[in-house]
Amino acid sequence: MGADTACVGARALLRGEFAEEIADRLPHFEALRCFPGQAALELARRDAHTLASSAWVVGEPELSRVAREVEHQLPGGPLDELLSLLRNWTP
Amino acid sequence: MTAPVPPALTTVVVVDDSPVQRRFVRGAVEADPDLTVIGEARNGKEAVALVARLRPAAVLMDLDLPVMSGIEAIEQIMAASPTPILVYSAHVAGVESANALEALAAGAVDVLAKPGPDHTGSLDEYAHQLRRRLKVAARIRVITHPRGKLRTQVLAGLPWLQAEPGWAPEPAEVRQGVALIAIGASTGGPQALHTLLKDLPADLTQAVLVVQHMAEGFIPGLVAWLDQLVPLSVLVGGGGRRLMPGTITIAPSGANLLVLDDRLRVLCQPPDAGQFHVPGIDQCFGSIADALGPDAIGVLLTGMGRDGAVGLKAMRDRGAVTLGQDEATSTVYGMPQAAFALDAVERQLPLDQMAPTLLSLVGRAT
Repeated sequence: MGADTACVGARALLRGEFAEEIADRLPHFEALRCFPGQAALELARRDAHTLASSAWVVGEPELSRVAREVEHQLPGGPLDELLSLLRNWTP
Repeated sequence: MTAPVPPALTTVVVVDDSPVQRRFVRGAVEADPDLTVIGEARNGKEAVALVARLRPAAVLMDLDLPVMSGIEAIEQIMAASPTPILVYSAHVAGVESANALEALAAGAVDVLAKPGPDHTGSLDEYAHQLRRRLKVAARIRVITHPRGKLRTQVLAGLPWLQAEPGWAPEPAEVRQGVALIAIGASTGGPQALHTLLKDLPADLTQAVLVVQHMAEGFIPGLVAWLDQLVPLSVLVGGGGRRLMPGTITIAPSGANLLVLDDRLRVLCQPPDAGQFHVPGIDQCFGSIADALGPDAIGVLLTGMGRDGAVGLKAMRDRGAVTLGQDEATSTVYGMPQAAFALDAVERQLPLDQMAPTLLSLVGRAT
């Protein structure tokens, strides 16, 4: 098995890690809905930034795109769409 | 009979606040049997402590970190435990390329864009690129940045830039008719260019052309960054234009910038098949040798590899003065060393003597 094949094979493990990352960060976006202060905005921007890259790595280009849009457009942007996509990952 | 000694593993510390990214990077890196991840940090502060304790061969670092930013962590690592740092971040490409320059100025040796929704390559390609760039970075000899950034006001006090007691460059003989100063640089180049170019006065009557190896999309950030820091105007070169006296032109990425004639008209030419470094310094310097002969000065600064050596030799053979950065002040003494070995370098100088020597050569008192 080549190095690259092994790398791709590891993606399944990454998806489990990604679900945990979403569980950690989802409350920050939900909090932004209730307490849209500067600190919450900054936290959500950082979370969206991280999720955009992580989603690409685990093979979720649509989630990656929406997270990147939210990162760049906060406090506007498709926050509801992002929340909907993220909730699909929670139990 | 002795057993063969296994080659030493290249040790890596990964710095990223995302567990997904850290797991992915660990898998990607360790897919190469020569690389091993010996530590992971979740923020800049942890990174500084971990690098000091583990002393890895290289650090792979995100920029957007909690607690302490990536830039601040780079500065602190380079001040306390100099280590080659490869930055990988989503915030270094396109309109955000200024972040890449800031990371390089802080002491990182290379910058790689972290893929996101606009990335067209595959995960395999990205993993391969990570491994390749890490292995290159780990071979780079880095030097202490006592205060992290190479700030102008601090430069004179940096021990690694100071000449030995009593050392002074030989006075440079004035060369009449010099129209162009051509500079080539690669790894460590942005900091070196800043150091050199900040001492060229705004009323310089020669044109300055810079070829800096840099990935697609980063040149505008380099131009904007330098333009804020140096007296001369800095702009990106393009085909069909002329190099202007008193202006620094940076060769664009993705093509070779060639000087066509003694009116300093330039042409952008697609890279040669298999050309590794684009824009190419050899191609640019070679064109200058043909177009200007003795009426140019060639300068080859820090950089990995050999690009520029052949072109600088062509310039010297056609009567141009040629300068090479010395080993002590080079982040990587690859390109200047190759040029020196080829007898392409007329004078080898510490970085802080480049600008005074250039000004002497063109008849400007310093």
